[in-house]
Amino acid sequence: MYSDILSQIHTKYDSDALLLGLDAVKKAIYSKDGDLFAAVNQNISANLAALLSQKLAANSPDKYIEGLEMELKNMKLIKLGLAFMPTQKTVDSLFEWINTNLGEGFIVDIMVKPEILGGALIDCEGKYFDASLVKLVDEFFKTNSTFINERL
Amino acid sequence: MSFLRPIQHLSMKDFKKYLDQTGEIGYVAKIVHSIVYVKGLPSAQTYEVVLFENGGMGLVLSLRAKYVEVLLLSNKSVEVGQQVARTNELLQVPLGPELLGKMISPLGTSIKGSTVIAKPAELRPIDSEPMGILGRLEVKRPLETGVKIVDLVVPLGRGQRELVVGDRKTGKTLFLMQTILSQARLGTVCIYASIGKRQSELKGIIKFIKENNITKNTIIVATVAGDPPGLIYLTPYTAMTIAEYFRDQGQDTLVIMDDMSAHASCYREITLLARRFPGRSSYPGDIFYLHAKLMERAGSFEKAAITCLPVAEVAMGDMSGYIQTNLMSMTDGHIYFDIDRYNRGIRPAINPFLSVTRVGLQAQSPLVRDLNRQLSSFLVHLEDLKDFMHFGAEVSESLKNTLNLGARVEALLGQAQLEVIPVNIAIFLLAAIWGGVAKDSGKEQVRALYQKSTERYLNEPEFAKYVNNTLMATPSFSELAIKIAKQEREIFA
Repeated sequence: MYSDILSQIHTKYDSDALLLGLDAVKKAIYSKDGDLFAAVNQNISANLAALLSQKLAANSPDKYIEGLEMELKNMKLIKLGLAFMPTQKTVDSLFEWINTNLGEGFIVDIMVKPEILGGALIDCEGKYFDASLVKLVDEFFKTNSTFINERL
Repeated sequence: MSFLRPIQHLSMKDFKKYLDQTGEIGYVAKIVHSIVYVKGLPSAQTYEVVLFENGGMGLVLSLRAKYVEVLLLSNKSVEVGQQVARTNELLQVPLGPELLGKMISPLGTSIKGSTVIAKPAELRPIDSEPMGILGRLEVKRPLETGVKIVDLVVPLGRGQRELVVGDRKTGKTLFLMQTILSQARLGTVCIYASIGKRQSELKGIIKFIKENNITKNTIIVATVAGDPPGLIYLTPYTAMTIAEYFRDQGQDTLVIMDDMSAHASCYREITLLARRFPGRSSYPGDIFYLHAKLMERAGSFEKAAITCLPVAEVAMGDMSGYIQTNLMSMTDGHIYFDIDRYNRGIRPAINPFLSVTRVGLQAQSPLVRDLNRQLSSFLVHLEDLKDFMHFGAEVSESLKNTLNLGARVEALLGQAQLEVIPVNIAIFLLAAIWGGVAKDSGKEQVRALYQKSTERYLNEPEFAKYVNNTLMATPSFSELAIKIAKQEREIFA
């Protein structure tokens, strides 16, 4: 029922933006002079607006929006710390990898942390994994400290 | 998992190390005063220590479907969204002989948070199971408090748990200080747990310990009213853990928990904030279990004894409060400080009729047991007689004698604040007046005689030796009284 909309949501930013838009659309449902579809076009991003309008026309709008909001809130969040701001292409390919390997129902929250130099800090549902370059460099210096000291 | 270093010395730097080590992260979702709800940390366990991103510390209280409930242990501000790491460690305190003479927080650091023991001999979790019956011994050795009325009427034994109960400002802490002074001089390790007390009161206690030069046998585990409730809650646990460490080193210890009603209130605050179901007087259902488990850790053991003196405050002499009656039922007796006696100018304001010692008498010598029996029945008789006298009845010669003896006994049992009297001289003097010494003297003269004899006992080794030998050689109190009365002139010349 919601999968075609949810498949378009890749990041926490997308999810928050859609939730905000749905809030405005909900107001239009209960407003005396409100035009539901105009509100959708006005508040929802262009790539989702047409799809959402179709769904709202086919279902009871308030119940559909309520269900969609619930689904969005229940999506599992993967927090990613990266050393750079990824391009949309990178985000899309990352999301494709997640969809293939972990399944549906995930969104990504990307934070820029230049101090990690490269790699990523990953945290999902309380699990944490440091796959950063700075950790590898630290480990290298720790394990090879005698070797380095001898050379200096 | 081996810890990186003692948990109490962790800083922000360690946060990242624990994050890598446990591979788990949580985020602060909600803060309710000293309770923090954390989302994440899927493998957290109860009583595990967690670290906040800013170096703050917390203790896992319970696990809920969506959150981990954490009790804050530090004063560092926590914000929603802050990261939290598990440590996979239960809360442990660093232990070692270096603790003697120190004042520490319940986390084992100094009050300002710096390290007290750089290389601890041992680390122990603060909440441990009490020792089973096989490791325990009967309470068989006496514990001298230096307070005459206690040592003679409600005597204590080593390993006894005796509740000290009474209204505010009736001299409970003064009595505890006298006991510490008396025991520290005898080499007992004295641990004073100040549970959320006022800073000024704590300063007074520190000053007393320093002035009397007993710091080397004393440890203070202190929290003050401004500390986080989580930290106040841990205070008696740390004190008991330290006592257990010294017990295992073969040293007798005395633990004072001042006071447990404040501890119960603090736990009530925490549990109500954590939305636990309130029971009687809004205390949680497990308050009895908590206190009983703590009291059960004291006792007489094969290696040494842990004597525990918990304190409970009452309001307007009402001893029927929930926490007070709980504590009475889990201790081996109680010493009751009576506000009426205090207002009548009796010092110490201990009510001998409402005080109880359950195992203390079995630890005393036959002489003290005999004395206690006679003295207790005499005091009851005297009280009845005084009530009778209110009617203005004419008194016979024998009743006059009883009243006269009563006045001298009461003068003997009275004691100046913070004065410590060795039990042997107290027994000797009681036997003397029982035998009729200074029968016709006035109250002031009798007091002067007590004072002079006590000073002689403390300063003249010959006299002290004579007193001790006389007591050793006489198992019956009546015989002792007769013996001293016969030698009155030689002894009290």
